[in-house]
Amino acid sequence: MTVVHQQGGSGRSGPKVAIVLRTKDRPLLLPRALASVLSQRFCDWVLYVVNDGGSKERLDETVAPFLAPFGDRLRVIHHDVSVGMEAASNRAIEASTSAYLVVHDDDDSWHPDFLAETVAFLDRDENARYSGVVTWSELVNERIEGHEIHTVGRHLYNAWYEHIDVQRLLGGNMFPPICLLFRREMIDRVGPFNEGLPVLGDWDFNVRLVLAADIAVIAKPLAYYHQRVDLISPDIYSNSIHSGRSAHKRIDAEIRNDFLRRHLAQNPGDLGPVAAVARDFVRLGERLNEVETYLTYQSARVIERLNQVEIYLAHQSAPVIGRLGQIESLLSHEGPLVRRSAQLEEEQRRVLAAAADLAAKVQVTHEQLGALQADMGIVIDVARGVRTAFRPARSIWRHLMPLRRLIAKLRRRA
Amino acid sequence: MTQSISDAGWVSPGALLERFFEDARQRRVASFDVFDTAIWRQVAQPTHIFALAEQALLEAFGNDVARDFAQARVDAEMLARELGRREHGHVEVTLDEIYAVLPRFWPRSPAVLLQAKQAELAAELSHARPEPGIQDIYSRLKEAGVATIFVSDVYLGERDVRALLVKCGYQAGDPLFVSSEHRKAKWDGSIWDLVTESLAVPVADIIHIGDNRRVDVDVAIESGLSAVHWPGRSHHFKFVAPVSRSIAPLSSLKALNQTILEAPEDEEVRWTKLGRAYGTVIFGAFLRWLADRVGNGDVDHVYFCSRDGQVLLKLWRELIAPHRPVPTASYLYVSRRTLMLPRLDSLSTQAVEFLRSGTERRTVATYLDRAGLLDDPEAVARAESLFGSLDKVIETPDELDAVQDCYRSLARELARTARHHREIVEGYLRQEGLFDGGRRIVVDLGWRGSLQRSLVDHLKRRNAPTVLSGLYYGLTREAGVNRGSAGWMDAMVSNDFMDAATDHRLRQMATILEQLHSADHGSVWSYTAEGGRVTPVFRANEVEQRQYERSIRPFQEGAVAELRAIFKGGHPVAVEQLDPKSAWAALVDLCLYPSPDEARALGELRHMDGFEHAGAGVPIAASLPDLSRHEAEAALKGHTWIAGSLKNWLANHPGFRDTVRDIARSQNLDDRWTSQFQ
Repeated sequence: MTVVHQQGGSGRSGPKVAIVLRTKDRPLLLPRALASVLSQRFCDWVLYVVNDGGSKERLDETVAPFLAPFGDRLRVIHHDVSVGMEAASNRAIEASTSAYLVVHDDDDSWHPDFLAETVAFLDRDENARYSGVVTWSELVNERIEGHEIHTVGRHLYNAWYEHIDVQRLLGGNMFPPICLLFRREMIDRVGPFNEGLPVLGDWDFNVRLVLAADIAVIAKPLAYYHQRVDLISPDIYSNSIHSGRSAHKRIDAEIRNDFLRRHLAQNPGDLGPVAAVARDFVRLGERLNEVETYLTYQSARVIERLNQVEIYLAHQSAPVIGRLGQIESLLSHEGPLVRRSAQLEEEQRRVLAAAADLAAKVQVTHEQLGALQADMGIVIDVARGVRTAFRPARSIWRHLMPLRRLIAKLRRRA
Repeated sequence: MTQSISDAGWVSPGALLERFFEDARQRRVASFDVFDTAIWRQVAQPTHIFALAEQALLEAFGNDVARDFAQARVDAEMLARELGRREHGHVEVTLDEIYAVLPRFWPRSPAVLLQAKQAELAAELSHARPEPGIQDIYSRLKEAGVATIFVSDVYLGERDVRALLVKCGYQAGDPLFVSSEHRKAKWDGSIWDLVTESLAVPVADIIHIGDNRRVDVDVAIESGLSAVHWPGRSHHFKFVAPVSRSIAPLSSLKALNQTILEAPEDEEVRWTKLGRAYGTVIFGAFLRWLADRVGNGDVDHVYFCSRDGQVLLKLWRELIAPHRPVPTASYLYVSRRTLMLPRLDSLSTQAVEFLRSGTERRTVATYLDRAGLLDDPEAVARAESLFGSLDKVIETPDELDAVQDCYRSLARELARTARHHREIVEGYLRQEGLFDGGRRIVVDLGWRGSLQRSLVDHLKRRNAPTVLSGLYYGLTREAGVNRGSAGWMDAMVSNDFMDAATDHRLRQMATILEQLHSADHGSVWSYTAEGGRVTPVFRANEVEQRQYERSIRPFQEGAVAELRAIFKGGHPVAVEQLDPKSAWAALVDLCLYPSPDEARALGELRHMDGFEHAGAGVPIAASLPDLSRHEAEAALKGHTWIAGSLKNWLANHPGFRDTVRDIARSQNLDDRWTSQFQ
């Protein structure tokens, strides 16, 4: 490891925030990340760029246009050989002295107020009990074309949490690293990032963080979580969550197994209750699967039927609309002459009333369809949520298979 | 008697006051409105006093305590008025009642609230000025033995108003009737009974003068008085526009330029005044921000890019460079066309889209000219064979697609012209030192950063050792597309990392800023090399030039004159007040909350079509006739300034208020912005 840029030195004890930016041969994305950091309204920070085994020359070339605006606020750490994301973070954290830490991935970015708001929050005396603070984020879907990064869509991402509860975070990661500013002292309490994890190191760290002290939430989308949408296979510009989907699943299971293994090692008596709960969870999960399947089937039938109704109504209303058009045309061309015809006026009123009635029926049908779809959606979401929540129990149940067989065998003998 | 400018054509204020004097001498009492008649405040509108109070609070308590006071004070007054009216039937509110509800918007300790009230009163006092014409008439009436009184609808107490009058040279002994003290007001006429009863004079023996046509004239006459309408200094308060301490410099500059008009204002004077107010803050703040960015010794040269950089470079050379250690600077003649033509050899989608861009109808010859192929015999022959004649006007989407196909069939010719233009552009850039290495800065209005990206492409192609960065007013979210390859881009008021709402506001500002930074030369069409020098070739547009002379030149000259005075020192506005926040406040005030006069004047500016700035252009604000919402939305599409369009529509067709409001709501701006169309 070599520290390359440690320019100047302001003689200060250390900037308030250390920003850790890990990268490896992504010259198109890195300039945006550097610009994101430079655009922060809060300026008391130092940026550690960790080149984790990428080309040194290419990184220096990419960073060169930014050296002047960074001044003495940039440190570049080159790793000749990649040590992995989490180890890269740890090296930068070890090199820093700042009170607050944040990991800024090389493909993500911030609103200019991110540091100003998060630092101000953690600085307040009444917030001393928090281990860190997260903001909401916006998911930016993008596509790389040549030397350009094109945004193809953006929307709020997980912007519903107003507090971070342990149970929910154990169910799955709730926020990407770009959202979290945490206190340096927490590293001493919960340990560094787990260098043994190729992915999900952030989730593992977040869990340890929240088990030590609460994480606060600023309910504003001040972080941008960027994802390349059309790069599924491994590529220098892909997101690990996409290209390493199977690895994510495996590591996810292993982390959960480890949690449970450690718990049962210390509390062997809990095996029975865990097994019982796991059985109930699995059964409930199976039942929910059945309900979900049934609801999906019924929903499809209802939608199909409503489509038929819609087509029928459209078919029925076409002649009315056509007739209306004719009347409108007559009125516009013949004006005074037609208006003198009481019969035509009467017909016009009747047709208009019929059309309004028809439109009202169509509207009611649409609203009913919408309400039905919304209800279905809620039920399906609940079912999925419960399934997700029961995943650990299923895992336990599967892992207890040898024990269950043994018990069954013993029962048969008895 | 009621007399005003609009009643009898133009009547000079002097003549108006003489008539008031003569009439008053025949009566027993002359009554004066206080604010904007007997005294005026050196702020653009009354709510800006709160911005000054916020500044004082900032100096006393710091930003955490002071912030948002001004806006909270505005909101608190609205609530207090509403509560007073609804719960007690009060026609006026008091300052104490306003401060009683202020903690709902600005939760602070009683001690801080007391300080805030004192800061507000101090700001009132320090910014109150006598109105000379009124003061003169007041003195002459005193000498003539006519009794003088003051009558004001205001939340301030009698003691506070008295202090303002005395500070402005009026006598302390004159009767003063203040609506907040008596819960009787001018606006409903109830205060006049109190006045006649107190003075024991019949109402017909009183003549009143004031600036509010309805309250001071119409209601007074209905109450039996004689009344004169005083034109005052300002008629368009923006009560809905956001108020913060950043508005202070603009407010002062507007107030300084709000004079009692001795003659109808001509267009040039109006544009000069706009420049003296808005241009001063916007240009001044950008130049100071720029100087801070490049003044640390690590920049070798600054290029102000044509055409928007012309006025900025002029100011830079006069006001910044002689007084601060800044790098050398020059004007860089570039345009979208000169930078895009060298990239045509790839015939990328972007290049073809560029060549066919624009909404006006163009001839085949124009499309060839755009690509630099009008002198190419092969290209001309191909186009004639495809379209029949070079004079054919391309009108339909299918025909435009045919133009695109034509471009693709001329790939060889385009590559040839691209090579030619690349050589001549690079010759110009080399001549201007862009390839000489070091750290160089381009200065432009901004938006996508495409100009910088194109220049960086040229540098990379030649392996030039130059590190190029860009400094801009603003970058829209679309600038993200160029972040990966354009180098460092920084912006003063907003950048591509901002939220969608701010980005939307910036786009409204962009359309105005582009107009206000126009230069006195046409667009850069190409370059010519003669005698070892490469010089730009321009394409001028007569409509655009007339617009420049009529509107933009006086605007820029107004700003230059005011900035000279500020930088010289001793000006009510300090140089340090011209910062990015004050620029943003000024841009919001002008571009998002235009007064009817501003909407009309700026809305007439024409946006020229395409990169060659062709044709007569279209006004940036629509002048919508009687249209349905659907038709109006369709008509708005050709015009870039939504706030100006809606303001104009409302002014010309008040009956369409509901439709205007509906369209405003659909613009995804905030409720405050929408409420100006209520």
